[in-house]
Amino acid sequence: MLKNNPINKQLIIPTLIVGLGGYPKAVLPHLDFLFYQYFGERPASVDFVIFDFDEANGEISATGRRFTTQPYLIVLPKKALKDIARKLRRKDRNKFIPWIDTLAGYVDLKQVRYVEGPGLNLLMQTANLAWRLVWSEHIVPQLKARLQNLHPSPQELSRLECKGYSISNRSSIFVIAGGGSTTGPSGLLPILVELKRLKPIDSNVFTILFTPGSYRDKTDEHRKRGRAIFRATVHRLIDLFNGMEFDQPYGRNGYRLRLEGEPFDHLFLIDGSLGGGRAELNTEQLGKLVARLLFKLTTSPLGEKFLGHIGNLNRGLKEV
Amino acid sequence: MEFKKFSHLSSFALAGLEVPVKKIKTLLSTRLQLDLVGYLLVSRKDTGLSLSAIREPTFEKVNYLEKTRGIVYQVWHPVADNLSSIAPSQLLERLNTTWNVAQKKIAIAVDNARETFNERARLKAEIIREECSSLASEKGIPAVLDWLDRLNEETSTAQDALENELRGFERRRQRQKQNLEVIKAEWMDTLGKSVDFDAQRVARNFLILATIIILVGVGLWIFSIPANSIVGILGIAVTTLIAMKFISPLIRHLSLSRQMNLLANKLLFGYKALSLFEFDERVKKLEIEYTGNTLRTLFRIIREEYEKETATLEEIQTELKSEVKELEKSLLESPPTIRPIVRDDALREWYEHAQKIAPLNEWIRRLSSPKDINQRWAEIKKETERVFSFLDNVKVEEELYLMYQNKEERMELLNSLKEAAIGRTSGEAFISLDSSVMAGSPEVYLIIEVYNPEESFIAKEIREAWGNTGIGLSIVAGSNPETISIIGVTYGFPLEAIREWEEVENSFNQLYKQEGNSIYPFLLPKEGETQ
Repeated sequence: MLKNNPINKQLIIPTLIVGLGGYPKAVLPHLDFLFYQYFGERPASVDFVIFDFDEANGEISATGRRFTTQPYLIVLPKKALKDIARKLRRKDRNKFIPWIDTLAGYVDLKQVRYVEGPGLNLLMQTANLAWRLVWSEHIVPQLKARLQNLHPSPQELSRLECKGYSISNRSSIFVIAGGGSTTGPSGLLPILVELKRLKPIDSNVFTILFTPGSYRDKTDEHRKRGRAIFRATVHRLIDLFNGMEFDQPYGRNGYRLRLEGEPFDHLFLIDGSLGGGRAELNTEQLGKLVARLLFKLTTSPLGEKFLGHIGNLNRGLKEV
Repeated sequence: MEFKKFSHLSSFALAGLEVPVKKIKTLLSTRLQLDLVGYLLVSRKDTGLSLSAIREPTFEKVNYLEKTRGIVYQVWHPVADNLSSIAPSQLLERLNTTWNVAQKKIAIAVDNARETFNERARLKAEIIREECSSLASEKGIPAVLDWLDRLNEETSTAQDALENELRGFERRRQRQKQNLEVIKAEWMDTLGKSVDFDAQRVARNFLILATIIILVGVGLWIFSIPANSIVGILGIAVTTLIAMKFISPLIRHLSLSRQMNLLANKLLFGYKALSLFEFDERVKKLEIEYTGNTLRTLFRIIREEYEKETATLEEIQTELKSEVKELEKSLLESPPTIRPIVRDDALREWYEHAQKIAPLNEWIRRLSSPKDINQRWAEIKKETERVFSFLDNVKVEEELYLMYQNKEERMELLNSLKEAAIGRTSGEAFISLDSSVMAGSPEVYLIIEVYNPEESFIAKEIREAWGNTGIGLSIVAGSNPETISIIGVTYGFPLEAIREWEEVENSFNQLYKQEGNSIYPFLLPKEGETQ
């Protein structure tokens, strides 16, 4: 348990970790466990949220305790998607879903298919539509609420300080997603755009994207399609850096997401290979190591140092 | 073909050394808990106190007898004091009335005695529980179970002896009852005889006798008849005979009174003794109930409590054994890039130190009583964990130096971790990159987290070995002495440098041919395509 030592307080960098799809479920329970192991709790200024169309939980058991994603997993509903996918086949679809034409040009509605089962099944246009259907109602309120509490209020700050924490003035937002699947790649860009719009000024946004190389347990067909999706997604991300404007309707009520500029501070790509491919980490091992890194970045001076370096990466700063 | 680097594209890796203090704490505290439970579950033969040697909680039994006997005596006391003033004809009635009062007093006293025995049983239970607890802490719980069995056997013997006494008491009371009946009959007989005595007639006869004596005396004096003459002697003899005749009822009456007094006393003592015997008998029954049922039930209850505790502790022991096994197995488990530093000698030293500073006797004492065992165990479990708080001061650096005393070996280990963090050719963190497609190498940065870098020897050695090697290096203060972390950041590479990127492109091209822009996560509308 954390010792309340006014001289040697435990540094915490306020952090929001947003997970998309299944991969974050392999990371965040381990991170939760590390917080519990070292502090007996997850400090209030560290928050998690996972958005997924699959209700499956990520869970680990350690030291007789269960750490599950259930408290912060937002299962996004697919009911509207199913309904609309059915109505899209009708000739008189405009009678039933008159607003659907507002998405014309942004979603290839002909490619929208609904498949029973968990997740979005590598159908990118289905995913493209699915996110737009849940955006206003399920995504924006969650992000707003969490970002509002990212920097603790003075009252909360003194409460945390009484508990022995020292809260950094900087803050970080990490988005974790799998790059070779559906939910992560399709949700990544709008989430980054929304976060860029909502985040506090002094907050950095980082993305940790699992490359197709980390999908070691998937079938060849899945991996092949995953690779294509990954390529399409990261190219779109880089296009934004190269001046492409993001201006897309997300919702039925005219809500639009707009961004002209950099959607993140840094994009970390990981495939779980070690020493240039001489060894490979499985998903659980990689999840544990990513959790450890996030723990370090969130709870030690190393985090501030890391953020400092990231801020100066383009200058190629070197220190000895 | 070479591709341009993209600065915002990077990868990271984490490697390091750690003393898995949390795991060690859990393992050692679990071992300590296991030893603690084992100590209580192993029997160290002991005879324990005999039933008669266990101290009585109070002297209430003796007091009770004295007090209650006093009450019985008090009931009979007024009768005994005024026995002579009670008309013989009313004596039996009075004695019977007093007997009834004494019976009521005895009934109340027996009820009080029952309360006393209950209280005594309660206090005795405390004493026996204390003894059990003390025995359990010294000789283990199995010794307590053996001792309770032996006490149970001794109780049967004691009960047999008391039942023998009770049978003696019953016989004594029966005898007393019969004796009392005989005395009563004698009394009635004597009383019947005493009824013939007429005091007025005796008084009248006395007056006549006095008149005769006076007349005889006056006659002898008037007629100057000497007393030693024949007439005088005859006169005196006749007077004496008459006097004898008149006095005899009185003498008989006086003799009868003495006999009645004697019988009255016998009656009184007979009644009193019978009531006391009856009281003794009823108390003895209570004593038998106490020794037989109450104590035996108590032993049974305590035994059940200890059996339950044994079962609970055995269950805990089984769990702890499997936990220890699991913990031993997982002690060195860590992600592939994190090297745990655990010395066997250190584990042994830390455990021995904990044994010295832990309040083992206090824990054993608390666990030797079956009351609230689960709650007590939970508390002790936490306390055992706290004993190992001295491990918070364990420094991975010191352990590393003890494990790898040779500098070359030490640096070899650190270099292997560095390779895990940035790759063998520097520039490959948790990603495989093909540097041949890049214009220049990616930037590589190492951040080393060391506790108290100002005083750290390892920080100095790292600076000497890894500084000025073309890799950005920072050594920052860590908040945790148990770990040394090496974070590698590789940044500034093109997407095309990701190993097997060709496959990515091929897959994309194939699917793009089939699905077109639909493979993108969102579409970019062409002019006029939107509403």
